Amino acid sequence: MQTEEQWLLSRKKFVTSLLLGGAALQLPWLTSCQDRRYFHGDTTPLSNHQFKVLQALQGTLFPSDGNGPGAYEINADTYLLWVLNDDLLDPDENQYIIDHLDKFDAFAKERLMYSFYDLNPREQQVVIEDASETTWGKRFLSRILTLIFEALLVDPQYGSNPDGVGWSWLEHDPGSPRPEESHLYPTILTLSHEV
Amino acid sequence: MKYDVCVVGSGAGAGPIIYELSKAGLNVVVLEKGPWLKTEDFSKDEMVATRRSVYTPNLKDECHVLVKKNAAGKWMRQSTYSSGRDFWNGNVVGGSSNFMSAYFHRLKPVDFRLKSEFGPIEGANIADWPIRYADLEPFYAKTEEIVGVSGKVVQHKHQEPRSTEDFPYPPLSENVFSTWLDSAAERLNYEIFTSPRGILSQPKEARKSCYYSNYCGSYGCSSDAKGSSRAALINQALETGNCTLLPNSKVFHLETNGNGAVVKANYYDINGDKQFVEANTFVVAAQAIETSRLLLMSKNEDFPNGLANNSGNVGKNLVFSGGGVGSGQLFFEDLTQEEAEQIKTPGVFINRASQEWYVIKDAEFSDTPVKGGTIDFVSEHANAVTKSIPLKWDDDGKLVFGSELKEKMHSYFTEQRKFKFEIFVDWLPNDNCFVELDDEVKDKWGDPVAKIWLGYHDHDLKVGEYLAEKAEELFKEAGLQNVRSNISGSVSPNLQAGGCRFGNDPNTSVLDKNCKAHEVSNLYVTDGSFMPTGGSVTYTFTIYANAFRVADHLVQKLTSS
Repeated sequence: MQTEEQWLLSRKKFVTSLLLGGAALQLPWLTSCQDRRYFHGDTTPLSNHQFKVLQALQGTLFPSDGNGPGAYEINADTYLLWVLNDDLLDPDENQYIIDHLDKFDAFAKERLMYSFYDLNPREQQVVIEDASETTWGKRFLSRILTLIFEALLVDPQYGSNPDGVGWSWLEHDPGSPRPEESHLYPTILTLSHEV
Repeated sequence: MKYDVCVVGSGAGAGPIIYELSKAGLNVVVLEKGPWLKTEDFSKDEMVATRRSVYTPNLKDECHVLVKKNAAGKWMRQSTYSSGRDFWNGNVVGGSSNFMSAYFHRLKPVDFRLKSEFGPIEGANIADWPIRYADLEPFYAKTEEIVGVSGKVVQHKHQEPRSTEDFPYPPLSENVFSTWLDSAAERLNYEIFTSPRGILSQPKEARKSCYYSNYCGSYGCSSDAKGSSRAALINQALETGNCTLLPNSKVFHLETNGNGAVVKANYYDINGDKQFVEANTFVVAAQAIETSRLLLMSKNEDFPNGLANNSGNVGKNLVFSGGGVGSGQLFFEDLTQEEAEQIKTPGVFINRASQEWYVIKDAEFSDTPVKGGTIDFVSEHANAVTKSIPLKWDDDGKLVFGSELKEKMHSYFTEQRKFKFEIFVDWLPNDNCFVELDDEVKDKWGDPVAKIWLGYHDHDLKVGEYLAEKAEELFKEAGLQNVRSNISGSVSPNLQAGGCRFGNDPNTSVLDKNCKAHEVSNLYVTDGSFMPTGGSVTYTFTIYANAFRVADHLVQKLTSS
């Protein structure tokens, strides 16, 4: 648990980031790149290598196979960057994702000698199947899939699910009213009316 | 300024107190831990409602410690920050009543005298209530009128007595599946009836009627049809000019004067600075776990074990709701196109329940009558991410991914509908289910968090399984496939009560029959903490009714003095 001082510092940091419009909370940039396969934006906190592993992994877990959008079409990669940059989430859990991207890629190299993103689709599938048989791999891949589901089905204002492509594919009615920009997470956390 | 009454919390246990006392001309101050969000602040954003901690504290800042028995029978502790198991329910003005599904069943006369009716059960601390159903009935009726309850009274073998003929609002619109359930129940000779809901089917003053958004439980209501404490009660209390609402005010200590009376509520404001308010009377309604925690934290020379706890009863006999859930599926390929389109209609409710087995008289189950429970029949929630998550596993627990996963998702969303049943049975109070202060883990203010022991009684499972078998039969008769259920001793954190049970004996209870602390002259507790046993229905309706009952007592007492 944090001390009160740590909490106040993190709170201050959060509010400051809101005021300054820090990159982690600026959603539009996530959709500004037309072709993210050659993404030239800031991949912090991932290295370019880790980001390429992530893209290849997401693309195999949720492929662009003609049956609805794939990870690429829903901006699952930049959505995950947004999650990793969210100071309000458990930092250990986010670090877990980063560490396990490395572990997963090392697993691919150990099995088939190449980095995961350099394998062909059939080989990538085999690596995922093998990793999912391990305790660590099962948990890690499950976590990545949950974040793909979020990218597919949360409001497009979060930068993923562009034009509600995920909702349309699944004939899903997201309900109304839709959130105003000022009421999206995490901005809504600063909201409280006074008497 | 010294207020007449200080209320800690603003949910269902607080709303009637705030409403009635403000209207009676008393100066009321409300200290609510969370922010004040208004109706226009709520939307159907799954991210905000369920995927992140927005209406509840961040577990990094505030968590609980849970103590459970593992498979080997050993008690194990784990913080909810570590496990991710969130035990908060809505820290905003109006509390978790903003996010309830609002199934509003009354308790029945037998629930008030469980021990007398059915006798003791070894290992369970069952106690009769110090009041009877007749004492609470007028306040159920009052809640139906003021908070707004829709439904239709249907006579059945366990229908409780009523002072009014029917609910003040007609039933909400229903899915066609409700009529299929009716037919199936008739063929099986089961009694089912229209579920009462704390949701307006017609406008009431400034509140609009339900607009069938398809997103009810876990979401704030955008029409104010849902009878939250905020929409139904606090907004009107504020209009009297007698109510001061202080959001973002977390009470951490109640201070006494050495003569057995509370004089100050100490709280942290939004900046983390310590503040206090003074009042003549204090009402705590912070939800059962946090209410016990606050009293245990409010130690001083007169109350070395915590406020109102010289008897050692604060935090004891916490109860949840026993039972579990079940489900079944309807596949569109088995229906006509017209039937499938009707089933797909979003937003409208199932609204069916059965209390056929509220008391089980079945010689094959028991030689003597046994307290049973309620079955509510509902649709699967529309939350898309939540619906998707289980689909990544096959029946053997193996990960599904790639095109196979996508096909499975597409089929699940577009080719079937899932319906569910929820079973509610008494959670027998026992020595292994209670709240205390944790010795190690602190919250962001440096105060000890609540440590919650989650022991349950095996009897709860037997009763739950009996009801699940009946519900499964009904689902199969209604044509559902893949019917299954899961009864367990796991806890629904939103269904919590007890910890400060009321009773006539100060040695065995914390509160008297008016919910005033035996040991403190001006301290009342009006959330679900007062309940010695929880009954076999969800708690919110009873919490509302009891808070109106206590409010009636307080208005008489405080305005006459």
